[in-house]
Amino acid sequence: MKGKNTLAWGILFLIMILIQACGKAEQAAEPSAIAPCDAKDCFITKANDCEEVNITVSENFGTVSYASSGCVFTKTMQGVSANETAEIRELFDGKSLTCTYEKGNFDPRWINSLVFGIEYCQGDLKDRIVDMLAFV
Amino acid sequence: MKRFTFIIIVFLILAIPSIHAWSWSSYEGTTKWDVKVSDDETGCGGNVKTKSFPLIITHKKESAKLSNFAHGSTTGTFMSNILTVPGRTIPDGSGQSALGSASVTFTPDCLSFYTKYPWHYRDSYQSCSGTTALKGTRTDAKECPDAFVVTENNPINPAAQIVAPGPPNVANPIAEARALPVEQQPAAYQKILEGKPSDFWANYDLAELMKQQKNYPEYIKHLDKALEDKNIAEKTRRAIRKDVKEKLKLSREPTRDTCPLLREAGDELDKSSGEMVYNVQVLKEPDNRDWSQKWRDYLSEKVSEAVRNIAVK
Repeated sequence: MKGKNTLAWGILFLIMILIQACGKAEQAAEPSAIAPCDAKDCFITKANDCEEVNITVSENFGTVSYASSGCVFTKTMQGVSANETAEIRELFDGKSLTCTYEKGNFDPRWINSLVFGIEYCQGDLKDRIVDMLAFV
Repeated sequence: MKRFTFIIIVFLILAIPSIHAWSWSSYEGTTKWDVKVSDDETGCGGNVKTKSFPLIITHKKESAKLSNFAHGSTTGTFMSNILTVPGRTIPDGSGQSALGSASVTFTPDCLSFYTKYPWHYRDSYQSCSGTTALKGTRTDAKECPDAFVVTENNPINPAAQIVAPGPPNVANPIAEARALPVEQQPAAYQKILEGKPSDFWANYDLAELMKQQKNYPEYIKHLDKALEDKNIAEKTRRAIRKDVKEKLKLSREPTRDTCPLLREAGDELDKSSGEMVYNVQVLKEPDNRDWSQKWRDYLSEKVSEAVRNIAVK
Protein backbone atom coordinates (compact mmCIF):
# COMPACT_ATOMS: atom_id res chain seq x y z
CA MET A 1 0.00 0.00 0.00
CA LYS A 2 2.81 2.26 0.90
CA GLY A 3 4.43 1.53 -2.47
CA LYS A 4 1.23 2.45 -4.33
CA ASN A 5 0.96 5.71 -2.41
CA THR A 6 4.53 6.56 -3.23
CA LEU A 7 3.88 5.86 -6.91
CA ALA A 8 0.75 8.00 -6.91
CA TRP A 9 2.58 10.86 -5.22
CA GLY A 10 5.39 10.47 -7.72
CA ILE A 11 3.01 10.65 -10.70
CA LEU A 12 1.26 13.67 -9.20
CA PHE A 13 4.61 15.34 -8.66
CA LEU A 14 5.60 14.69 -12.24
CA ILE A 15 2.29 16.08 -13.53
CA MET A 16 2.80 19.24 -11.50
CA ILE A 17 6.30 19.67 -12.84
CA LEU A 18 4.98 19.22 -16.38
CA ILE A 19 2.21 21.77 -15.84
CA GLN A 20 4.69 24.23 -14.41
CA ALA A 21 7.07 23.66 -17.32
CA CYS A 22 4.27 24.25 -19.84
CA GLY A 23 3.31 27.46 -18.08
CA LYS A 24 6.88 28.70 -18.25
CA ALA A 25 7.09 27.77 -21.89
CA GLU A 26 3.89 29.73 -22.53
CA GLN A 27 5.28 32.69 -20.63
CA ALA A 28 8.43 32.53 -22.66
CA ALA A 29 6.41 32.47 -25.86
CA GLU A 30 4.36 35.54 -24.91
CA PRO A 31 6.90 38.22 -25.84
CA SER A 32 7.16 36.92 -29.38
CA ALA A 33 3.34 37.05 -29.68
CA ILE A 34 3.59 40.85 -29.43
CA ALA A 35 5.50 41.17 -32.65
CA PRO A 36 7.07 44.55 -33.40
CA CYS A 37 5.17 46.60 -35.99
CA ASP A 38 7.72 46.90 -38.76
CA ALA A 39 5.61 46.35 -41.86
CA LYS A 40 3.37 48.74 -43.76
CA ASP A 41 0.23 46.62 -43.30
CA CYS A 42 0.71 46.62 -39.57
CA PHE A 43 1.41 50.35 -39.59
CA ILE A 44 -1.78 51.05 -41.51
CA THR A 45 -3.86 48.98 -39.10
CA LYS A 46 -2.47 50.73 -36.06
CA ALA A 47 -2.54 54.18 -37.62
CA ASN A 48 -6.14 53.62 -38.65
CA ASP A 49 -6.95 53.12 -34.97
CA CYS A 50 -4.93 56.25 -34.16
CA GLU A 51 -2.46 54.20 -32.13
CA GLU A 52 1.10 55.37 -31.76
CA VAL A 53 3.28 53.62 -34.31
CA ASN A 54 6.37 54.36 -36.33
CA ILE A 55 8.43 52.50 -38.87
CA THR A 56 11.34 53.24 -41.13
CA VAL A 57 11.22 51.82 -44.62
CA SER A 58 13.80 51.63 -47.34
CA GLU A 59 11.94 52.69 -50.49
CA ASN A 60 13.21 52.76 -54.08
CA PHE A 61 13.87 56.46 -53.79
CA GLY A 62 15.32 56.58 -50.29
CA THR A 63 14.75 55.90 -46.62
CA VAL A 64 11.50 57.15 -45.22
CA SER A 65 10.17 57.13 -41.69
CA TYR A 66 6.45 56.96 -41.13
CA ALA A 67 4.97 57.89 -37.78
CA SER A 68 1.46 58.23 -36.53
CA SER A 69 0.09 59.26 -33.20
CA GLY A 70 -3.29 60.57 -32.17
CA CYS A 71 -4.61 60.57 -35.74
CA VAL A 72 -1.74 62.71 -37.01
CA PHE A 73 0.48 61.08 -39.60
CA THR A 74 3.98 62.27 -40.36
CA LYS A 75 6.16 61.17 -43.26
CA THR A 76 9.79 62.16 -43.11
CA MET A 77 12.38 61.70 -45.80
CA GLN A 78 15.32 60.45 -43.76
CA GLY A 79 17.58 60.30 -46.75
CA VAL A 80 17.01 60.10 -50.47
CA SER A 81 18.82 57.61 -52.65
CA ALA A 82 22.56 57.95 -52.92
CA ASN A 83 21.99 58.14 -56.66
CA GLU A 84 20.34 61.53 -56.33
CA THR A 85 22.35 64.66 -57.01
CA ALA A 86 23.52 66.77 -54.09
CA GLU A 87 20.92 69.40 -55.04
CA ILE A 88 18.05 66.96 -54.79
CA ARG A 89 19.40 65.52 -51.54
CA GLU A 90 19.50 68.98 -50.06
CA LEU A 91 15.95 69.65 -51.18
CA PHE A 92 14.46 66.49 -49.72
CA ASP A 93 16.60 65.17 -46.86
CA GLY A 94 14.94 65.71 -43.52
CA LYS A 95 11.79 67.20 -45.06
CA SER A 96 8.44 65.99 -43.81
CA LEU A 97 4.73 66.30 -44.33
CA THR A 98 1.91 65.91 -41.86
CA CYS A 99 -1.61 64.70 -42.44
CA THR A 100 -4.46 64.88 -39.96
CA TYR A 101 -7.26 62.34 -40.21
CA GLU A 102 -10.16 60.90 -38.33
CA LYS A 103 -10.09 57.49 -36.67
CA GLY A 104 -10.84 54.81 -39.24
CA ASN A 105 -9.99 57.11 -42.14
CA PHE A 106 -6.24 56.68 -42.46
CA ASP A 107 -5.36 56.98 -46.14
CA PRO A 108 -3.06 54.05 -47.07
CA ARG A 109 -1.75 56.05 -50.03
CA TRP A 110 0.22 58.20 -47.60
CA ILE A 111 2.45 55.21 -46.92
CA ASN A 112 2.10 53.33 -50.20
CA SER A 113 2.64 56.24 -52.56
CA LEU A 114 4.95 59.17 -53.04
CA VAL A 115 2.48 61.33 -54.91
CA PHE A 116 -1.07 60.28 -54.22
CA GLY A 117 -3.22 61.41 -51.34
CA ILE A 118 -1.19 64.39 -50.23
CA GLU A 119 -3.87 66.97 -50.94
CA TYR A 120 -4.81 67.08 -47.28
CA CYS A 121 -1.27 67.14 -45.96
CA GLN A 122 0.98 70.03 -45.13
CA GLY A 123 4.72 70.47 -45.02
CA ASP A 124 7.93 71.05 -46.94
CA LEU A 125 7.96 67.51 -48.29
CA LYS A 126 4.56 68.00 -49.92
CA ASP A 127 5.70 71.29 -51.46
CA ARG A 128 8.83 69.68 -52.88
CA ILE A 129 6.95 66.72 -54.31
CA VAL A 130 4.48 69.00 -56.08
CA ASP A 131 7.33 71.12 -57.42
CA MET A 132 9.02 68.04 -58.81
CA LEU A 133 5.88 67.04 -60.69
CA ALA A 134 6.74 69.80 -63.15
CA PHE A 135 9.58 67.60 -64.39
CA VAL A 136 7.63 64.34 -64.70
CA MET B 1 2.11 62.18 -73.68
CA LYS B 2 0.05 60.34 -71.04
CA ARG B 3 2.77 60.90 -68.51
CA PHE B 4 2.31 64.65 -68.78
CA THR B 5 -1.44 64.57 -68.48
CA PHE B 6 -1.49 65.13 -64.76
CA ILE B 7 0.93 68.00 -64.55
CA ILE B 8 -0.22 69.73 -67.68
CA ILE B 9 -3.85 69.60 -66.65
CA VAL B 10 -3.35 70.75 -63.10
CA PHE B 11 -1.10 73.57 -64.13
CA LEU B 12 -3.14 74.63 -67.11
CA ILE B 13 -6.28 74.64 -65.04
CA LEU B 14 -4.86 77.70 -63.41
CA ALA B 15 -1.97 78.89 -65.52
CA ILE B 16 -4.03 80.00 -68.45
CA PRO B 17 -6.11 83.00 -67.44
CA SER B 18 -9.82 83.21 -67.50
CA ILE B 19 -10.63 85.90 -69.99
CA HIS B 20 -13.00 88.47 -68.67
CA ALA B 21 -13.77 92.03 -69.69
CA TRP B 22 -12.31 93.13 -66.40
CA SER B 23 -9.45 91.71 -64.40
CA TRP B 24 -8.64 92.65 -60.82
CA SER B 25 -5.08 91.55 -61.44
CA SER B 26 -4.56 94.72 -63.49
CA TYR B 27 -5.93 97.16 -60.93
CA GLU B 28 -4.15 99.40 -58.42
CA GLY B 29 -6.12 101.17 -55.72
CA THR B 30 -8.52 100.39 -52.90
CA THR B 31 -12.01 98.96 -52.86
CA LYS B 32 -14.54 98.68 -50.04
CA TRP B 33 -16.76 95.72 -49.34
CA ASP B 34 -19.27 94.38 -46.90
CA VAL B 35 -18.47 90.76 -46.14
CA LYS B 36 -20.96 88.26 -44.77
CA VAL B 37 -18.97 85.62 -42.91
CA SER B 38 -20.66 82.29 -42.18
CA ASP B 39 -18.75 80.04 -39.82
CA ASP B 40 -19.98 76.47 -39.78
CA GLU B 41 -18.96 75.20 -36.35
CA THR B 42 -21.29 72.20 -36.25
CA GLY B 43 -18.28 69.89 -36.34
CA CYS B 44 -17.12 71.49 -33.10
CA GLY B 45 -20.43 71.14 -31.31
CA GLY B 46 -21.56 74.64 -32.29
CA ASN B 47 -23.77 75.92 -35.04
CA VAL B 48 -23.57 78.14 -38.10
CA LYS B 49 -22.81 81.73 -37.12
CA THR B 50 -23.16 84.56 -39.61
CA LYS B 51 -21.80 88.05 -39.13
CA SER B 52 -21.01 90.97 -41.41
CA PHE B 53 -17.75 92.86 -41.47
CA PRO B 54 -16.47 95.85 -43.47
CA LEU B 55 -13.46 95.03 -45.62
CA ILE B 56 -10.97 97.20 -47.46
CA ILE B 57 -8.87 95.61 -50.17
CA THR B 58 -5.69 97.38 -51.21
CA HIS B 59 -4.93 96.28 -54.76
CA LYS B 60 -1.51 96.36 -56.29
CA LYS B 61 -2.13 94.50 -59.52
CA GLU B 62 -1.63 90.82 -58.76
CA SER B 63 -1.12 91.30 -55.04
CA ALA B 64 -3.89 92.34 -52.69
CA LYS B 65 -3.97 93.18 -49.01
CA LEU B 66 -7.16 92.46 -47.13
CA SER B 67 -7.90 94.51 -44.01
CA ASN B 68 -8.68 92.87 -40.70
CA PHE B 69 -11.96 91.02 -40.80
CA ALA B 70 -13.13 87.66 -39.47
CA HIS B 71 -9.76 85.92 -39.14
CA GLY B 72 -7.43 88.91 -39.28
CA SER B 73 -5.73 90.79 -42.08
CA THR B 74 -3.97 88.86 -44.81
CA THR B 75 -2.62 89.08 -48.33
CA GLY B 76 -3.44 87.25 -51.50
CA THR B 77 -2.62 86.97 -55.16
CA PHE B 78 -4.92 87.73 -58.05
CA MET B 79 -4.94 85.65 -61.18
CA SER B 80 -7.46 87.38 -63.35
CA ASN B 81 -10.53 87.54 -61.10
CA ILE B 82 -9.54 84.77 -58.72
CA LEU B 83 -7.82 85.84 -55.52
CA THR B 84 -5.80 83.11 -53.89
CA VAL B 85 -5.26 83.53 -50.17
CA PRO B 86 -2.75 81.04 -48.75
CA GLY B 87 -3.60 78.92 -45.75
CA ARG B 88 -2.31 80.05 -42.35
CA THR B 89 -2.52 79.26 -38.67
CA ILE B 90 -3.98 81.82 -36.28
CA PRO B 91 -4.46 81.96 -32.49
CA ASP B 92 -8.09 81.18 -31.75
CA GLY B 93 -9.46 81.28 -28.20
CA SER B 94 -7.47 78.91 -26.03
CA GLY B 95 -6.07 77.10 -29.05
CA GLN B 96 -5.32 77.74 -32.66
CA SER B 97 -6.97 77.32 -36.01
CA ALA B 98 -5.32 76.15 -39.20
CA LEU B 99 -7.12 77.93 -42.02
CA GLY B 100 -7.10 76.31 -45.44
CA SER B 101 -6.20 78.33 -48.47
CA ALA B 102 -9.05 80.14 -50.19
CA SER B 103 -9.76 80.77 -53.86
CA VAL B 104 -11.92 83.86 -53.84
CA THR B 105 -13.96 84.25 -57.00
CA PHE B 106 -14.78 87.84 -57.98
CA THR B 107 -17.72 88.27 -60.31
CA PRO B 108 -17.09 89.92 -63.72
CA ASP B 109 -19.27 92.91 -62.77
CA CYS B 110 -16.78 93.73 -59.96
CA LEU B 111 -19.59 93.95 -57.41
CA SER B 112 -19.27 90.76 -55.41
CA PHE B 113 -17.07 87.84 -54.46
CA TYR B 114 -17.50 84.54 -52.76
CA THR B 115 -15.41 81.73 -51.37
CA LYS B 116 -15.45 78.94 -48.85
CA TYR B 117 -12.47 77.49 -47.04
CA PRO B 118 -11.94 74.80 -44.42
CA TRP B 119 -10.35 75.22 -41.03
CA HIS B 120 -9.19 72.94 -38.28
CA TYR B 121 -9.32 74.03 -34.66
CA ARG B 122 -7.23 72.46 -31.95
CA ASP B 123 -6.67 73.13 -28.26
CA SER B 124 -5.81 70.96 -25.31
CA TYR B 125 -9.41 69.76 -25.03
CA GLN B 126 -10.64 69.25 -28.53
CA SER B 127 -9.73 69.03 -32.18
CA CYS B 128 -12.41 69.68 -34.76
CA SER B 129 -13.01 71.03 -38.24
CA GLY B 130 -15.40 73.34 -39.99
CA THR B 131 -15.73 75.75 -42.87
CA THR B 132 -16.04 79.47 -43.36
CA ALA B 133 -17.98 80.92 -46.27
CA LEU B 134 -17.48 84.52 -47.35
CA LYS B 135 -19.77 86.56 -49.52
CA GLY B 136 -18.60 90.07 -50.30
CA THR B 137 -20.65 92.93 -51.69
CA ARG B 138 -19.02 96.05 -53.04
CA THR B 139 -19.95 99.19 -51.10
CA ASP B 140 -17.88 101.95 -52.71
CA ALA B 141 -19.12 101.69 -56.31
CA LYS B 142 -21.58 100.01 -58.62
CA GLU B 143 -19.20 99.21 -61.45
CA CYS B 144 -15.65 98.13 -62.19
CA PRO B 145 -13.01 100.73 -61.25
CA ASP B 146 -12.35 101.72 -64.83
CA ALA B 147 -12.98 100.50 -68.35
CA PHE B 148 -9.59 98.87 -68.81
CA VAL B 149 -9.95 95.66 -70.77
CA VAL B 150 -7.43 92.87 -70.42
CA THR B 151 -6.67 91.12 -73.64
CA GLU B 152 -4.38 88.29 -74.53
CA ASN B 153 -1.90 90.70 -76.05
CA ASN B 154 -1.81 93.01 -73.06
CA PRO B 155 1.41 92.45 -71.11
CA ILE B 156 -0.40 93.18 -67.87
CA ASN B 157 -2.02 89.83 -68.20
CA PRO B 158 0.86 87.64 -66.98
CA ALA B 159 -0.23 84.45 -68.58
CA ALA B 160 -0.48 86.14 -71.95
CA GLN B 161 3.24 85.60 -72.25
CA ILE B 162 2.99 81.87 -72.05
CA VAL B 163 -0.09 81.13 -74.09
CA ALA B 164 -0.81 81.23 -77.75
CA PRO B 165 -2.43 84.37 -79.14
CA GLY B 166 -6.14 84.50 -78.64
CA PRO B 167 -8.72 86.19 -80.78
CA PRO B 168 -7.29 89.29 -82.48
CA ASN B 169 -10.25 91.61 -81.99
CA VAL B 170 -13.74 91.90 -80.63
CA ALA B 171 -15.29 91.01 -83.96
CA ASN B 172 -14.51 87.32 -83.64
CA PRO B 173 -16.93 84.74 -82.22
CA ILE B 174 -14.90 84.10 -79.07
CA ALA B 175 -14.92 87.76 -78.08
CA GLU B 176 -18.62 87.92 -78.86
CA ALA B 177 -19.27 84.88 -76.70
CA ARG B 178 -17.30 86.42 -73.86
CA ALA B 179 -19.33 89.59 -74.07
CA LEU B 180 -22.58 87.71 -73.52
CA PRO B 181 -24.22 87.28 -70.11
CA VAL B 182 -22.74 84.25 -68.38
CA GLU B 183 -25.87 82.14 -68.73
CA GLN B 184 -25.81 82.59 -72.52
CA GLN B 185 -22.12 81.84 -72.96
CA PRO B 186 -22.21 78.00 -72.97
CA ALA B 187 -24.60 77.91 -75.94
CA ALA B 188 -22.43 80.43 -77.80
CA TYR B 189 -19.29 78.36 -77.24
CA GLN B 190 -21.11 75.16 -78.23
CA LYS B 191 -22.08 76.85 -81.46
CA ILE B 192 -18.45 77.72 -82.18
CA LEU B 193 -17.42 74.15 -81.41
CA GLU B 194 -19.99 72.75 -83.80
CA GLY B 195 -18.05 74.43 -86.60
CA LYS B 196 -14.60 73.89 -85.12
CA PRO B 197 -14.50 71.22 -82.37
CA SER B 198 -10.83 71.80 -81.64
CA ASP B 199 -11.06 75.58 -81.11
CA PHE B 200 -8.77 76.18 -78.14
CA TRP B 201 -10.43 79.26 -76.67
CA ALA B 202 -13.96 77.94 -77.08
CA ASN B 203 -12.97 74.75 -75.29
CA TYR B 204 -10.96 76.55 -72.66
CA ASP B 205 -13.59 79.18 -71.89
CA LEU B 206 -16.30 76.54 -71.78
CA ALA B 207 -14.16 74.44 -69.45
CA GLU B 208 -13.80 77.42 -67.14
CA LEU B 209 -17.52 78.00 -67.17
CA MET B 210 -18.15 74.36 -66.36
CA LYS B 211 -15.65 74.52 -63.54
CA GLN B 212 -17.45 77.51 -62.05
CA GLN B 213 -20.68 75.55 -62.26
CA LYS B 214 -18.96 72.55 -60.63
CA ASN B 215 -19.83 70.43 -63.65
CA TYR B 216 -16.52 68.60 -63.44
CA PRO B 217 -17.06 65.92 -66.13
CA GLU B 218 -17.75 68.65 -68.72
CA TYR B 219 -14.92 70.74 -67.34
CA ILE B 220 -12.42 67.92 -67.83
CA LYS B 221 -13.87 67.05 -71.22
CA HIS B 222 -13.35 70.54 -72.61
CA LEU B 223 -10.04 71.06 -70.89
CA ASP B 224 -8.76 67.83 -72.44
CA LYS B 225 -9.98 69.02 -75.81
CA ALA B 226 -8.27 72.38 -75.36
CA LEU B 227 -5.05 70.59 -74.47
CA GLU B 228 -5.00 68.95 -77.83
CA ASP B 229 -3.33 72.20 -78.81
CA LYS B 230 0.16 70.84 -78.24
CA ASN B 231 1.72 74.21 -78.80
CA ILE B 232 0.06 75.73 -75.77
CA ALA B 233 0.56 72.67 -73.60
CA GLU B 234 4.24 72.48 -74.46
CA LYS B 235 4.88 76.20 -74.01
CA THR B 236 3.27 76.19 -70.61
CA ARG B 237 5.09 73.08 -69.53
CA ARG B 238 8.42 74.58 -70.55
CA ALA B 239 7.67 77.84 -68.76
CA ILE B 240 6.67 76.13 -65.55
CA ARG B 241 9.66 73.81 -65.63
CA LYS B 242 11.96 76.78 -66.06
CA ASP B 243 10.32 78.58 -63.18
CA VAL B 244 10.47 75.60 -60.83
CA LYS B 245 14.09 74.98 -61.75
CA GLU B 246 14.96 78.54 -60.76
CA LYS B 247 12.83 78.45 -57.65
CA LEU B 248 14.54 75.28 -56.41
CA LYS B 249 17.93 76.63 -57.51
CA LEU B 250 18.65 73.56 -59.59
CA SER B 251 21.63 73.71 -61.90
CA ARG B 252 19.77 71.51 -64.38
CA GLU B 253 16.35 69.99 -64.79
CA PRO B 254 16.11 66.55 -63.20
CA THR B 255 14.95 63.68 -65.36
CA ARG B 256 13.67 60.21 -64.62
CA ASP B 257 17.03 58.81 -65.58
CA THR B 258 18.98 61.00 -63.19
CA CYS B 259 16.52 61.27 -60.31
CA PRO B 260 15.07 58.17 -58.59
CA LEU B 261 12.47 60.32 -56.84
CA LEU B 262 11.20 61.60 -60.14
CA ARG B 263 11.23 58.08 -61.54
CA GLU B 264 9.03 56.92 -58.67
CA ALA B 265 6.62 59.83 -59.09
CA GLY B 266 6.50 59.31 -62.84
CA ASP B 267 5.90 55.59 -62.52
CA GLU B 268 3.05 56.21 -60.13
CA LEU B 269 1.46 58.71 -62.48
CA ASP B 270 1.94 56.40 -65.45
CA LYS B 271 0.25 53.56 -63.63
CA SER B 272 -2.63 55.81 -62.66
CA SER B 273 -3.23 56.73 -66.32
CA GLY B 274 -4.35 60.14 -65.19
CA GLU B 275 -6.97 58.72 -62.83
CA MET B 276 -5.74 60.95 -60.09
CA VAL B 277 -6.71 64.05 -61.98
CA TYR B 278 -10.07 62.62 -62.77
CA ASN B 279 -10.61 61.33 -59.28
CA VAL B 280 -9.80 64.68 -57.86
CA GLN B 281 -11.60 66.88 -60.30
CA VAL B 282 -14.60 64.70 -60.92
CA LEU B 283 -15.09 64.09 -57.21
CA LYS B 284 -15.14 60.34 -57.39
CA GLU B 285 -13.96 60.13 -53.80
CA PRO B 286 -16.45 57.99 -51.89
CA ASP B 287 -16.89 60.43 -49.04
CA ASN B 288 -18.13 63.97 -48.89
CA ARG B 289 -14.79 65.68 -48.59
CA ASP B 290 -14.22 68.20 -51.30
CA TRP B 291 -10.96 66.90 -52.72
CA SER B 292 -11.33 68.98 -55.81
CA GLN B 293 -11.45 72.25 -53.97
CA LYS B 294 -8.57 71.35 -51.68
CA TRP B 295 -6.36 70.24 -54.51
CA ARG B 296 -7.10 73.26 -56.68
CA ASP B 297 -6.59 75.61 -53.76
CA TYR B 298 -3.20 74.13 -53.12
CA LEU B 299 -2.10 74.11 -56.73
CA SER B 300 -3.48 77.56 -57.40
CA GLU B 301 -0.95 78.96 -54.97
CA LYS B 302 1.84 77.18 -56.79
CA VAL B 303 0.66 78.13 -60.22
CA SER B 304 -0.03 81.75 -59.34
CA GLU B 305 3.46 82.04 -58.04
CA ALA B 306 4.94 80.39 -61.12
CA VAL B 307 3.00 82.51 -63.57
CA ARG B 308 3.69 85.73 -61.69
CA ASN B 309 7.40 85.03 -61.73
CA ILE B 310 7.28 84.33 -65.44
CA ALA B 311 5.38 87.53 -66.07
CA VAL B 312 7.90 89.88 -64.46
CA LYS B 313 10.88 88.57 -66.40
